[in-house]
Amino acid sequence: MRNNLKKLMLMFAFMALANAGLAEVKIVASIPDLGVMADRVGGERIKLTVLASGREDLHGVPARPSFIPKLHKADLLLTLGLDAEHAWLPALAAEARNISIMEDREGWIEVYEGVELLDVPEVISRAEGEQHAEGNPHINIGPQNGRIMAENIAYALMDFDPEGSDYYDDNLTEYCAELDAFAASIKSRGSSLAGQKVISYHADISYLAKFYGMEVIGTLEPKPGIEPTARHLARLAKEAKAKGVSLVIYNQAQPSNLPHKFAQRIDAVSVKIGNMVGAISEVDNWQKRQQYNLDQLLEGAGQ
Amino acid sequence: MRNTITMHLVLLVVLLLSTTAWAQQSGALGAWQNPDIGFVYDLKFDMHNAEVDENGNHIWKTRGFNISSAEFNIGADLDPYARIDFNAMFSHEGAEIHELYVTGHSLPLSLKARAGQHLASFGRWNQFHSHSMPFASEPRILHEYLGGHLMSTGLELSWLAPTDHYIEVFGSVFNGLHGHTHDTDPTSSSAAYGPGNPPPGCHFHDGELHCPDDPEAAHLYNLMQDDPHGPVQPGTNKGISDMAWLGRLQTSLEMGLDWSIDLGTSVVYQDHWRYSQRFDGTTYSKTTMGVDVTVFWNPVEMNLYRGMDFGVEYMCNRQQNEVENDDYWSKHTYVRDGAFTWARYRLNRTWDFGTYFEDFAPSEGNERRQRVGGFLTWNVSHYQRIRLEYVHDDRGMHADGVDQVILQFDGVIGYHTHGRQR
Repeated sequence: MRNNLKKLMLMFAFMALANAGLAEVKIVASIPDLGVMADRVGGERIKLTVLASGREDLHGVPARPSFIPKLHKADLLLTLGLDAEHAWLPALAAEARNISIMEDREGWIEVYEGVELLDVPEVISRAEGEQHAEGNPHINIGPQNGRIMAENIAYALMDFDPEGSDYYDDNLTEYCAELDAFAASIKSRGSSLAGQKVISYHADISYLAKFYGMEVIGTLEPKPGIEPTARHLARLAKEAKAKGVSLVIYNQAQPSNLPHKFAQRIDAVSVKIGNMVGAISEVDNWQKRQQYNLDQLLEGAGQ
Repeated sequence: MRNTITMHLVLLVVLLLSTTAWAQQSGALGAWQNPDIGFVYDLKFDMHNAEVDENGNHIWKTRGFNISSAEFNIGADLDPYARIDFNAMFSHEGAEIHELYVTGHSLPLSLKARAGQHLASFGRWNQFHSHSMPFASEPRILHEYLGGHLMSTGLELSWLAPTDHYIEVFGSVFNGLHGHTHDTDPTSSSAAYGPGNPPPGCHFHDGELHCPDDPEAAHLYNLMQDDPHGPVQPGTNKGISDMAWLGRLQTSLEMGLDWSIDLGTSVVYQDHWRYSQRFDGTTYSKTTMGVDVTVFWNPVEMNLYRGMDFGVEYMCNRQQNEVENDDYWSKHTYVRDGAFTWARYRLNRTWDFGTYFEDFAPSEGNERRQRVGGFLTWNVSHYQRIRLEYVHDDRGMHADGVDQVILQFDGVIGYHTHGRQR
């Protein structure tokens, strides 16, 4: 009995020492995509909070005051960058009494570094709509970018918590292997999408289209962030018919009526994808979301 | 004096813009050194059916087509610890420094400081620039109880409670209870000008009338307005009792992802709000308190395309003044209150509409007044909108009601943000 008690006490003491040596990095992720990656890479060394639910439009997450106390406690704030969250996150971060995670400060982490950026505008002008000067910010829709995003999260964690570098590196290696295998698998499965001509609601599928080799003919919005007009849609419909567009792609945070009607008008199929992890309840990690999007595309394409 | 300020501000703008352009072209400074620069215009056309005098002339002169305001704003981090923001406002009456303040983000104990001149953290709508409100005309309770948008020229400290629930407390001390408005209002007392009804060529600033072409008339008017029963004036040498003190507590509640409520309560007090011109050492105080509740519906998947907010803002004003009673003068306390309530629905990304209703005790007369309005907004893009608004003011039982129609045209270029306002 006494021996058992001693063993138990020794075990508790050992656990307490182990925990004492375990730094807990407080991570806030702007969207669930970054949250699931941080969780895989950071594991038990991080305490994770995710702001968006995943069902929102990336640019239109409601700026809830409840985000402010979460940001106040953050060591690192993970963002996509490229001004993807500019409409809601910088202002909240500025109110959080935490200067390290304010925009462009050391704790404001943008995960796009190393991504092959698409749609970088040649001319910066509001006449071109709501532009993103450095390139298309919807990098999280492209399966090819998962590995780079995860690496950037890991590097940020290693910088902040060097003692955990080996731990993060091991997790990253394991996670990247999964992501690489998964990307190869869905690319192979979606190979029949190559050459499909598609239209999207907003200019947010460039990375997805590039991954599967689809050709984006246009967007229902005449310019990014500008509401569709009858004149633009008429012109687009004419072009879409001429070029044989087969899919009209939108996401769960965009109105569904217009893509449906437009698809009917041009004898195409409307396809709803998820713009973030959590877009629908069963899509709760990066791979499931990419798998879901591929399933939707293949079903729309009749394959 | 105002012309000189205008000239200096215009010169400043030109210099800043030319410096920025030079920096971009030459690369000598690098784009990272450029401050955030923006410009907002607020154009209005308003007309009304206010009564006419015996000669058939409108007593109230509509402004018709007018530049309600044009704001030039510039801001940047001063250093790792602070940011500076400057906002100059231009209108037909000239130019003025609307806001100029330094924000310290890096204070200990979850504190943030703002020093300089800015819209006071009082209530909900007082913290909105006029062009960023969802309606064209400003709530009258701002005019009645704060003299327009309450400006704080002083120091503000705000504290974020270290809890998982959002609670923020504001405290500030500033030069005095002064409001600011460029709004028009045909429904003020028809025989007299008021904060919402300035004479042509004049405008109200810090609660006082400014007439560049006729300063003497403005001086006489301001003396009259300070106290219709006897001359009192604001103090000029600022002792601690001449300062205004403001406190605000705000929080927010959430019901799921779609619904949330912002709640706030504010109070502002100035002990020596006015000085008697008859009796040495006699002063008069003013206190205004308010409660604001705003309910938001932001459907999480359609937040860019649908939404609704509605709420109520209540204010109670208690101010002392010098009153003549037969053969002696006495200190009299006036207590007035009013509430502004509104609802707005966002139909899609382009259109929103709404209504408001206001009930308040005006500064003139003892009868309460009501205003009711409706507005329809066409958001041409994120940067441009056109709004049509109708307002009816019943003006009480002893005057004809007034109908007013306002067409508003707003646009923005460059960088312009209102923080986390929603």
